[in-house]
Amino acid sequence: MSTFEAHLRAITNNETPSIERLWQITKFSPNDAQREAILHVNGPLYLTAGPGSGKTRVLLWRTLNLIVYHHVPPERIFLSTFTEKAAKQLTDGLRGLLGLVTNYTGQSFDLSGMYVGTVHSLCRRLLTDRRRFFADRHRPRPPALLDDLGQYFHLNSAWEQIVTYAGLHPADAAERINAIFDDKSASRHRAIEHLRSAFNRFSEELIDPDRVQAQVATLAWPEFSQSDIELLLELYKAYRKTLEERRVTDFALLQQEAYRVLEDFPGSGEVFQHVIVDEYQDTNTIQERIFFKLASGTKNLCVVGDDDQALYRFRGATVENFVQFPQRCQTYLGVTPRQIALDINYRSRSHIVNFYGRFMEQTDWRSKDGHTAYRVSKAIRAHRADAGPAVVATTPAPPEEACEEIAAFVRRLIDEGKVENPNQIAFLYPSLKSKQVERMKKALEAHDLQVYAPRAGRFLQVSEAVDVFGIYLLIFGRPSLRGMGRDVDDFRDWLNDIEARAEELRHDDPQLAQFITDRRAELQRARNDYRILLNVVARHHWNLDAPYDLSRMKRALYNAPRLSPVGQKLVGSAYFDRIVQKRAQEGHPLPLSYVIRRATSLDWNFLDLFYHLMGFEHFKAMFDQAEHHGDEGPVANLGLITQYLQRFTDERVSIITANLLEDDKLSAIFFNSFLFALFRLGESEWENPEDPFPRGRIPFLTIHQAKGLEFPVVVLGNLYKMDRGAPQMERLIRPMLTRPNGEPLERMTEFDIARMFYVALSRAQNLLILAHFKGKGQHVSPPFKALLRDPALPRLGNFDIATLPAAKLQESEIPKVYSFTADYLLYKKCPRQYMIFRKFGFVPSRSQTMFFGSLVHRTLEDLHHELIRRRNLAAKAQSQGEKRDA
Amino acid sequence: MPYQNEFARKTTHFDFVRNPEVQEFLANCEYLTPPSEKEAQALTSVFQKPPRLPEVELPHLILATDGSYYEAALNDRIPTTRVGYIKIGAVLFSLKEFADLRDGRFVDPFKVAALQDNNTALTFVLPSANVRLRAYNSVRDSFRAALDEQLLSEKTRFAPQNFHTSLRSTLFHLASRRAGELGTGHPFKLKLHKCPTCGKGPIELEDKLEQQFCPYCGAPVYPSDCLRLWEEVSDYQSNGTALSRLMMILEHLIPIHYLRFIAQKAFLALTRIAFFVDGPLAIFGNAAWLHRSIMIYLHEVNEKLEKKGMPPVLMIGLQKRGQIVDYVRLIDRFLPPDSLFAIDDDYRYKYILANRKPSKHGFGFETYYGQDFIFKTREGRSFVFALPYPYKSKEEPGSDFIHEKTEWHRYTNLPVAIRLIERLQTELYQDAVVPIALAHRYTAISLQPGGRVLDLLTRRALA
Ligand SMILES: [Zn+2]
Repeated sequence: MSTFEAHLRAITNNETPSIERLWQITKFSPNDAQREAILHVNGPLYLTAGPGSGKTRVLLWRTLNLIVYHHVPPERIFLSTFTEKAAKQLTDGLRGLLGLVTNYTGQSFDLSGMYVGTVHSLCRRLLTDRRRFFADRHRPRPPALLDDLGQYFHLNSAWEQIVTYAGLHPADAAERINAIFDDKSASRHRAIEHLRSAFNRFSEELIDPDRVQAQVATLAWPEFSQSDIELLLELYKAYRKTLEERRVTDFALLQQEAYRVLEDFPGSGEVFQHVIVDEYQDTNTIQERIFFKLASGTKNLCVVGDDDQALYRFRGATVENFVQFPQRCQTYLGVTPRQIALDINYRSRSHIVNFYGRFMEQTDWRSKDGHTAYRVSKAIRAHRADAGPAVVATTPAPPEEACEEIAAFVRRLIDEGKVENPNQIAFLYPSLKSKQVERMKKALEAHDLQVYAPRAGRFLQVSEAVDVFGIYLLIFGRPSLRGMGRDVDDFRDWLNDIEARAEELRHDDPQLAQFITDRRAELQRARNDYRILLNVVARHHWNLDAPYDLSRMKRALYNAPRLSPVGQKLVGSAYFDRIVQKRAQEGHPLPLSYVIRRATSLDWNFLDLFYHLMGFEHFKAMFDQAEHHGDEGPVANLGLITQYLQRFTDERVSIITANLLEDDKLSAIFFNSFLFALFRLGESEWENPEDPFPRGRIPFLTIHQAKGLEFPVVVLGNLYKMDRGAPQMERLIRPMLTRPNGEPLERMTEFDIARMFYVALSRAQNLLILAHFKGKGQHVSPPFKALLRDPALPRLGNFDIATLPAAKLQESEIPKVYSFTADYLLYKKCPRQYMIFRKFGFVPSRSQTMFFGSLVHRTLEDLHHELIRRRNLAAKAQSQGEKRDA
Repeated sequence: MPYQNEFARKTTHFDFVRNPEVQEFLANCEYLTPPSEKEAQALTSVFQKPPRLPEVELPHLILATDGSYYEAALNDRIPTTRVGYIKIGAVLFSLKEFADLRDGRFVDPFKVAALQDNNTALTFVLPSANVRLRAYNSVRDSFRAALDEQLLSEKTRFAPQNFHTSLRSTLFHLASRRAGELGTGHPFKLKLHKCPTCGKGPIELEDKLEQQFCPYCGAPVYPSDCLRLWEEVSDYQSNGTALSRLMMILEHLIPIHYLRFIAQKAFLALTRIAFFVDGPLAIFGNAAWLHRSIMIYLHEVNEKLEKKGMPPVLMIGLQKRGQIVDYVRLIDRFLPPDSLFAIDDDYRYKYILANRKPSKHGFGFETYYGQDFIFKTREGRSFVFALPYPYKSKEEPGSDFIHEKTEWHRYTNLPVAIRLIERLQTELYQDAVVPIALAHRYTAISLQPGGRVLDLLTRRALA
C-alpha cells in the first residue's frame, strides 16, 4: 500500500457521527415518541401514527439506525410500503441519509439487497430469491404476474374455458353469475368484475375451495344459496386452473404462493433480521400471515399505521390486523409489542386537528356490550401553535349556490396569493363519478379556473385522449363494433366523437393530414405485400409452417409481381439470410410464415406513433403550454396515455405485422378489445396512486387517492356517502372464515365511512372547506350532523381571508436524491425532456427515445425559426402597408 | 525547506558588511533594516486582537507536507556529474495522537515510532548536470521523462491499480481548469503551451499510460511538461533551480491531491482535517499558473461544503523563512502577545519589501493564492501563516480584491486556524509548529541536520 493510499484510508475511516449529530445536520428534531421509535431495536414494535405525525421520517431514521448503528446488513431488512412510490421515496431518503454517513466515514452502503417495496413486489422478489428461500435451487421460474387490468383481460380471454369447467353454458353464464350478486344484467364485463372481487377475496383469505365445499351444508349464508356458493367455488377452481395453464398468476395468489414457500422453507423466520410494515391498517389476512411468518424467528416485527385511516376493505384489508396487533403478537410470537403513539401532528393548524378529532368522537367505536373497542384510543395534538379558524363550511345552500360560493372563494385564494399555485388546493370526494363533481367543476370553470380530474368521468373522454385516439382511428381505420347494451352504445358514441375530432385536427393541419395519409399508405403497403406473398405461397403449394428454404423460396418471393420495394428489400436482406442460415444450422429453422410476417411488418408500433404525433403543432402547443404558461394539465394527461399505450405494446401487439391488418383485426384488438375494456373499467373508480398533480390546475381526487398526501387547502366537496350496509363480498366471505371475526357486519360500513372522511379531513394543512349542501335530496353523513349544527363553526360568508397563512411550497421532509445522469444531465441537456420523462412519467418508446430527444429540440428550434419568420412577415407587411399609405 | 537556524552559518558575515565597497554600494540601496523603537511602534499599531470564538471545533486530523531537495555529485572526483533528489514528506496524525505524544513531560518513543510507521517520504530522483537516461540525448529530455514517470508512478497513487489516481492525474485536474485556450474543461486532458522540442503549440495531451508525441514534430511530449520545468534544466550545470521549483510545486500539489481524493471518498471528512503547507500559499516560476487553478479548485470544493452548511477547507501555509519571517523577527519584540495582522499591499510594499514599487494588480497577482497573516500567540511566539483567498479568482467582477483580501471576516476559518496554531506551537524551533516539524523529519535527507527534528522532539519535553 502506498503512503497515499494508507493515509486516505486513515482520513476517511472516521468514526461515524452520532445519530443526534446527523439529526442536527439534517435539521430534524424528533419529539420524544419519535425518538423512542427510531431507537427501538429489538422485539415487536407497534407504532400508532396519526396523520401528519412524521411517520415516514421515523421509519427512515429507524432503518438508518438499524443499518448504521446496529450493523444490520440492508439485505436483512424487509420493508413493506403501500405503494411503489412510497418505497422509492423511502429508498431515496435512506440513500440520501446514508450518503451523509458515507461522506463522513467513507463507508459505503449497498441498498440493492434490501427488500423494500409493496407486498406484491416483495412477494415476487421472494419467489425468485432462490439463494435465500429455496433449499433446492432448481425451482422452475414463477409464473408471470397479472395486475388488476391484466387479471380482467385474463378472465375475459379465458371466459369460455372457465365457465365451461364450472359446468355453465357460455351463452348464459354471465347472467347466471350476475344473478348471484343480485345483478340482473347479462353483461360479461359485469360478471367478470363480480368474479374478480370474489376470487381475490377468496385468495386473500386463504379460502380452500375444497374445504369450504365439503362444509357448505353446515355453513349459513342468509342471502346466498348453497348452489351459488358451490358455483362460485367451482368457478374459482376453474379460474386457478386457467392461470396455471397459462403460467400466470394474480396479486392475491402470488402472495399465497409466497406464503407457501415460507411455510416450506425451514429458515424463513430468520432470513430477515427486521420486518417493517408501513400502512399496516390496510393489510389483509394473507399479508398478515406472511409478515408474522417472516418475523417468527427474530420477533423483530415493526408495524406502523393508523386504524382511523383504514381505507381498503374493498381490497380485503382488515383493520383488525392493526387494532388487535398486540393480541396477534401474543398469539404468533408469544410476546407483547412495545407500543408507541406518534400523536403530534405537524401538518395541520390546530383547529383542523381538533375538528377531525371531534369528528371521530361522533361515532361509538365500542361493541354493543362495550367489551370490544374497534378503535385504538388516541389523542392527536397539533404542533402548530396558531389557533385561528381553519375549518370553514359554506353557507348551507343548494349545491349550485354552495359550489358558486366555494368557487368564488377559491378564486380569491389564488388572486390574493394564499396559495402559490392552483394545484395546492385539492378537492376531495368519496367518488368522482358524481353530479356534485360536475357541478363543482362547472362553477370553478366559470371563474376561469382549470381543473385536473382525469378520473372524473372516463379518462378516455379527456380531450387529449380524444385527440390522440381519434388520430389512431383515422390511421388504423374504424373497426365494426357488434353488440348491444348501454356500454356498447356509449363506446360507439365515443368512437364517433373521437373520429369527428380527428377530422377537425386533420383539417386544421395539412402536415398532420399528410402524415395520416402516409401512415395509412404504409399499412396498405404491408397489407398488399402480405396478400402478394401469400399468393406466391399458394401457387407453389408451400406449407406456411414448413421451414423457410432460402435457396428454393427466396427468389420466388422476391420476384413476386407488384411486391413493393420495401417488401422486396425486407425479403432480399442479406443480413436476414444469415439469420435464417444460422437458425437452420442450430436446428431451429424459421418457418415460412415468420419470414412473410417479417417482410410485411412495420417499423413503428403504437407507442412510436404517439411520439410521432407529438411533433405536430396541436400537441406541441401542449408542451409549450406547460413550459411557458404553467398549465401542465394536458401534458400530464398525455403522460397517462403513454402508460396505456405501453400496456398495449407490452401485452398485446408489440410489432405491427400485416397478418393483423387483414379484416381490421388490429384495429379491432386496439379499439374494441383494449380501449373498450378501459372504457368500461373507467366507469368504476379507477385509481392510480401515481397520478400527477400538474401545475396550473386544481386537482380533483377521490379520498382514496389522497391517502398519504397533504395540501395547503382542502375542499371536501361532498359530506355524504350512503351507508348501504356491509359490502356483499363481506357477507359472502364471512361464513367461510376460520380466523376470528372482525367488525360486526352491521356496523362496518358506518365505521368505514367515518374513517374515509377522517382521511379527507386530515389532508388539510392551512384550511379545510366543507361543502355544506342543503335542500331537496341533499344529505350529510351522520358524524357531520352535530358538527355542522355547532354555531361556532365558521362559515365561508364571514371568513376573514386575511387570517389565513399563505401556503409556501414546502420542501419535502424526506431528502430527495437526484441522480446525476437521470436528473442533472438530462435537465441540463433539455428541460423539456426532463419535465416529460421524469416529472410526468411518459413511457419512452423503445425506438423513439432518441428521436424524441431530437424532436423536442427541433420543436424549440422550429418555434424559434417560426417566430423569426413571422416577425419578418409582419415587418414586410408593415413596410408594404407603409408604402401603400405613402 | 530548512529552518532558519538549521544551518549554522560560520561565514564571517560581519567582516563582509564592513567592507567599504559594500558599504558604498549599500548606501544606494533600499533594504530591510531594523526599525527604530519609534518606527516599530507605528508599525505594530496595525496589529489587533485576533478573532476568537467561544467554542472552536478543531480538526481531528492534520496533514502536513514539507520537502527537501539535494543535488549531489555522483562521484567526488567528478563533481560536475550530478543527480538531484527531492523528498516530500506527507505526515498524517491526529490531534489526539499529538496530545498523547505530549502526555506529561515525557514523550513515548513507541508512539513516535508508530507515527513513523504511518508516514514515509516520497522520493524523486532526477538527472542533473551531465547525467542522461539511456536513450535520451540531453539532460533536459531525461529530466522530463524521469519526472513524468515518477509523477505517474504507483507510489503517488491513491489506488495503485488506477493511474487516474496518480499525482500526475491531479495535475491534469488542475491544468484542465486553466482559463483561456490552455484550459480543456476535461479532467483527463490538459494542454501544453508548446512543444519543448519544436516550440509549436498548443498541444493537447491525455491522462494515459502510453507515450504521447508532438503532433508537429513527432518528438515525445509529457503531460508534466506543462509545469515548464524543462525550461530551467541545463545539460552541464547544476539544476538547483529546477529542483527547488519542483519541490515547491510538489508541496502544493500534494495537498490538492489529497483533497481531491478525500472529497471523492468521504466528502465531509474534509471538515475534519487541516492541511499544512510549507511556505506562503503561492507558486513561483514558470508553473505559477497553477496558483489560479488551485484557487478555482479550492473554490469548487468550498462551494460544495458551503451547500452542506460546512466551513471551507482549512489549509494553512506556514512560513519558516523568507522576507516576512525576517521582517517579523525585526519587529517581534515590539509586538504584543495575542495580536494579528493581515498583511496588506501598502504595508508590504512599504515596510517588508523596502519601498518596492507596488504592482498594478496588487501583490502576488501572478503567484499567490492565499493571504499572509502575522500572528503572535498568547504565549508570545510569532508565526507567519497564510489562508487561501476566499475567491474563485482575483478578478471577480464586483469585488475589490486588493482590499477585500485582507478583511478578516472573509476568512471563515481564521479563528480555527489561530486556535490550531496555538495548539501546535512548539518551542523546538522558533516559528515552528509540530506538523511541519514532523513533515520535515520525513523529508530530511541524511546529509542535512533536519533529520534530527523528531529525535529532538522525543528528547525534549514539549512545553
Ligand atoms: Zn514538437
